[in-house]
Amino acid sequence: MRDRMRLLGMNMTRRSNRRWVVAVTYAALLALGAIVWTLSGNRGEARAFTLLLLVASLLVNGIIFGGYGCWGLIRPFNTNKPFGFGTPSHNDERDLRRRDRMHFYAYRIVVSLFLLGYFLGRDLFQHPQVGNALLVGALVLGLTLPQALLLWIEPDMEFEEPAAPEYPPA
Amino acid sequence: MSNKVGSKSNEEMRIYNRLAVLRAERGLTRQELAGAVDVNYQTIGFLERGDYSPSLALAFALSEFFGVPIEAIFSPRPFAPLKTWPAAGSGQ
Repeated sequence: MRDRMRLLGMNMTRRSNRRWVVAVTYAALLALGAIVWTLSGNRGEARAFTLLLLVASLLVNGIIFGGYGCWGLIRPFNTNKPFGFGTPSHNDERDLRRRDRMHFYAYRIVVSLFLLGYFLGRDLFQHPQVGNALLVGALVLGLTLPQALLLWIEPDMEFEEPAAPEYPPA
Repeated sequence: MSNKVGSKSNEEMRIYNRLAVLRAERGLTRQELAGAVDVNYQTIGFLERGDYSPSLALAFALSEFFGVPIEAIFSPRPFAPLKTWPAAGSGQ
């Protein structure tokens, strides 16, 4: 998490606020997914909206969640300089431990969705539309879930203002 | 193979600490302590509340910073209050 946890003027040190942001973001992505679903009869439009959904997921990372973006509530996961420039993010041992654990949780969920989507989409089950939806859902979750889990699970953060500089008496 | 000491995972095993006391004694803010041992200040809060158990490297860094042995800062059992120490109140 970043030192300054603010998003659109809201205090994100509180877990309840962060949970609202995660819920609203996924509701928006789900709405976009529903459009893809309803347009699935029209191949061209469905492809365009699928692409839009994936781009929206990347924007969610970059602007809201962070982690894999320059901005957002979570420091960049990569502790090296992103793309070889800028300042490396300072993730301490706890940050790294939490990051790795959330990726482990997300990995299991995403792989389960991929497997389910793959098997449902096969001829055996005759549900290609459901299979495709699950595969796209798995892609979206693969891009965003570790960060979302981190924002959802981390407890309320205590924010401490930096100590004021001490001036010698006049 | 199991042994009694190592039977609980790190996350199940609660580690008690005296960080808040030591920090207050020295009049340090969390940010100052965090800067001294190179972690984020929120991690100091998690440590003080017992929500996070530090790595051995961080425990050594804290021990070195405060100038006390690790076992004076961290313990697997709750610390006894100072007033119950044998020397307390005996004038020694």
